[in-house]
Amino acid sequence: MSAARTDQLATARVMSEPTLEAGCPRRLGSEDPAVMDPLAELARQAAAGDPAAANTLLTKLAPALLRVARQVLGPQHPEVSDVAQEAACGLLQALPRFRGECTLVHFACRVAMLVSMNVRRREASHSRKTETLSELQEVYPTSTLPPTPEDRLLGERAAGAIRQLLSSLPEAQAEVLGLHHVVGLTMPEIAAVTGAPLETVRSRLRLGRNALRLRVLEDRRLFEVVGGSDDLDR
Amino acid sequence: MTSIDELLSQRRRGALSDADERRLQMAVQTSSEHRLTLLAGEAFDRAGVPQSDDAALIKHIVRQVGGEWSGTFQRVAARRRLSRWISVPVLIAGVAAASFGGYRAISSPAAPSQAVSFPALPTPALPTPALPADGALTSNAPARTAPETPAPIQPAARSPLAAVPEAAPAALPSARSDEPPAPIVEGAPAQPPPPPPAAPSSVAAAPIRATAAVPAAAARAPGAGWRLPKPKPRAAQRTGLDTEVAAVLPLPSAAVAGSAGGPAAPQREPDLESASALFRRANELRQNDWAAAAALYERLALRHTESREAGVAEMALGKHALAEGRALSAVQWFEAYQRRAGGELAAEAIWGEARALQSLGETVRARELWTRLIERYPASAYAAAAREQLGP
Repeated sequence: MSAARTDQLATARVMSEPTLEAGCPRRLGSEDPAVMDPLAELARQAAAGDPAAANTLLTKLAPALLRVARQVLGPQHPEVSDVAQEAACGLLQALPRFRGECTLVHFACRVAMLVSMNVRRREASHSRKTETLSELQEVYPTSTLPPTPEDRLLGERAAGAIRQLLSSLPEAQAEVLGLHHVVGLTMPEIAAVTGAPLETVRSRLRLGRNALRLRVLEDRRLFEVVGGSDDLDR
Repeated sequence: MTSIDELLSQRRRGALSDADERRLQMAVQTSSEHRLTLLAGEAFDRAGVPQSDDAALIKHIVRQVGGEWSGTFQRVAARRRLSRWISVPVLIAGVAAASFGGYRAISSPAAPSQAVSFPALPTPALPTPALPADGALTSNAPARTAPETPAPIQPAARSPLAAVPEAAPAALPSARSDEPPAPIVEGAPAQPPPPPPAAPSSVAAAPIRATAAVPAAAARAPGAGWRLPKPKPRAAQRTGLDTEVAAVLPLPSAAVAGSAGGPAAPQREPDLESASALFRRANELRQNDWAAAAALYERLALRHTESREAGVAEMALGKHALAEGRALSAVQWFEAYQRRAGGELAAEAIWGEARALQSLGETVRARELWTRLIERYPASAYAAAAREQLGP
């Protein structure tokens, strides 16, 4: 079995772990997430100030927070655990405002995404003063690559381009782009978790993709691989 | 019908049916954008894979965060209370100081050192409010019956805070820039008409308005001549980007020329043999006719050796030769690229040369190259792959 397939299976396992995706409907809109989400009751108790419920809730959601932090910042980033911890704080503080329109896991993913984006924006701002972002990425390699077929390398570079956009796009667009491409949420799920209309989400994603296309065209390595004469030129 | 976006998301969750998988693969093969999205998603999934020390990390997070939670974070609440206690007096002091400074600026119109000397504000002769019969409000409040200018405050009576605007007169114009122009008062010197707006940007409007409100003497005060930098016109910004992108990308040359030259620019014949033109044509051809594209790439590499496009052409030729099994040719192209100073694709070139040498059976040289790759580009993705090739 190839390493790529192994990783895919591992990813699928992670996504289907009970602690992460328990009760998470595959397609939002078809079922009521509040009814399906077994964490909702736990969240209600935690929001009311029950420390035991908060501990249990965090134990179940922390893997998702860590995953998003690693996806946005890169697994080798030194601030991954800090970001996950900050996201955990933010999640507990935001629980009273959680309206149950999406699953709690997706809500937690959104909190982690926003916290991670803030870190990237701060680093991008700092790097503009001191060093280039590419230099920064050399310091914090974005992933530990297994043996590299070129597709994997291409994926890493495309992921790097998306990560850079998260710190340069307007926040609303960056959030949608990140939730879709980084976390892997569908557009109806993003609409539910952000509370924005579906068409607004589509529009933000379209704008984000336009910026991504431009970034890919500016990346000579990516551009060279994709050939440069197909739909990316549009 | 499910969109490709949704298929991509479902694939990452392992929830794709065989039919949808086939449909997705077809979309990926025909669209570079979908391909990139798919590969990026796989990269993100790899990045998010749990690590061995996650259990301890999660325990730590739960202990740190959950231990302090009781409906709110005590430390945060305490910090908020403290900041509230501090911010209220600071806010009051700030408002008082600002009011006092503004009062001083209004009340001393003749002071030559003032950068902004607004004409005396006319106090309309408002009817004095009827005081209560018992005179409760008359004890300390002086009755304002005439539109008099408030008496200037004597220096001895000024508070230390009042020294700030005097010491820094140049700061006043900006401090007043948000206020509307002072009203023209009867008897006051006529204000010069505001200059016509020099820039259409709304950013530039603020200093113009401030300048219009100050007298000419004040405008010559130190620091009063500052201007916001003129915003670069959008067209100029686009031109810079376009020319840079056009150097390596197959943008239509007419579009680039149009944005750079404007309508008055003379129409020049496009140079079909320029580096960017050759590169563009080769990129167009490589989708359908690699042999023709390779000929153009080679011409580009030979004619415009120093150009950036030539470097990319060498890499393309090397990779294609390697893919076709022409390892010797691939080695030559990869070596040619490595002779360039500061090539962005140098790590990739070393990797390609090593692969070509490996296929030629020259494993010793290939291992040397992998070692060199790790030494020179230790953080690159190719270095990680080279480590795997070298083994433990």
